[in-house]
Amino acid sequence: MAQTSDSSAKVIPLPHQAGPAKVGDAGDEHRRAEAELVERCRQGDQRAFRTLVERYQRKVFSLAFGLLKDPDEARDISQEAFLKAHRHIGSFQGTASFYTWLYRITVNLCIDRKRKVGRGSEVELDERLSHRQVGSPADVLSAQKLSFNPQRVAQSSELRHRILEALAQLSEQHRAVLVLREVEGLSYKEIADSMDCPEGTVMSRLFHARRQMQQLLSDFAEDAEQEGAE
Amino acid sequence: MAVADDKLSKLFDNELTSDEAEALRQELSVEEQAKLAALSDLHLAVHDAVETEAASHELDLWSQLEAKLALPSTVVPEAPVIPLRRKLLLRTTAVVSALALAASLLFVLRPATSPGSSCDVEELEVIGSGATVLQVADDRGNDTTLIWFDHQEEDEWESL
Repeated sequence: MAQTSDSSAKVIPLPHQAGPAKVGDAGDEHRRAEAELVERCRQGDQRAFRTLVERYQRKVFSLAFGLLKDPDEARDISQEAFLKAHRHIGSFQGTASFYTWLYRITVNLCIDRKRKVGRGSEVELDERLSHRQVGSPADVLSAQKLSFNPQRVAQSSELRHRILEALAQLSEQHRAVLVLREVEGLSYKEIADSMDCPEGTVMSRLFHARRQMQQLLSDFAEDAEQEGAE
Repeated sequence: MAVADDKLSKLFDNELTSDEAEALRQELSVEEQAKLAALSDLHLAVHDAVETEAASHELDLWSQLEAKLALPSTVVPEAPVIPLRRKLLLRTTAVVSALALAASLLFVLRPATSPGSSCDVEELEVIGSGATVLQVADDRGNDTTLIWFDHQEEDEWESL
């Protein structure tokens, strides 16, 4: 039974509020400037396209890297995504942001790449998982903190690789949602636009991706403790 | 009352309005606060792992993209206007020559003309007179034969 917190615990810092800055938070000015760049690209202005590439290349690469785990593949996909965006910029409606459109291209390319090399077999299993009721007794978020200090991740390449390994065990769809949320900081709506699916599906996938990651990383924490004891 | 995990997730992801978020914060139990802290740990771990690892790789997409984007404009082939004209000229000459040859052959090999059924004309010559036999179609669709005599003077024949 959950206990109601007392008045001293009223103000709970939500760590995610200090998380990654949302790309969409830049405001109307940013959107106008971006729309102008897109329009110039449509008219064949390569300098405008260069600005867009330089603005988003790191984000697109991070997304592709988070999904593929291979820097060379991620670089290839990033290039392909920008080439595709350039080729089809005339058909970009402008109803969604340019970057959500670009992320959609990138996610689709990554999923296609994974499927081509035959690593997409786990999608069906995970898709079944994602349709289960969120919050059912067998499937709740863990209240356990990670046994390692997350701040250490930046210093420890071994920790990073273990986390990336855990990420690689998720299905493409779950990994994509998790990376778009945790790394790129997109809202549910923006993720839904990027992945061309309903917001409810985003929530469900995100929940299961987090739950799986908690399980995978708690195993790792136990391993680490055992290794330390030995 | 326990807060459902989906609401906790929405709170963590800033997907609630400020009023909703504030109301929910009032209800959180210790366990639910711990869940939020665990979500925060996971966020930091995933974010930092991917960002740090991705940032360790050099990235200059533009230099390669620029080359690829420039490629179509530099390799556009010039339209082969002159060869095409020559080809058309040769073809036209060949076709005209062939037609002229065919026309000549048809002219030479055409069947000999014979009197039509509408009007056949034959010339007869007898001593002392000449006659022309005409066979023409009448109004009823039948043939009618006309013989036109052209009488000549005896002395004329004698002089022949």
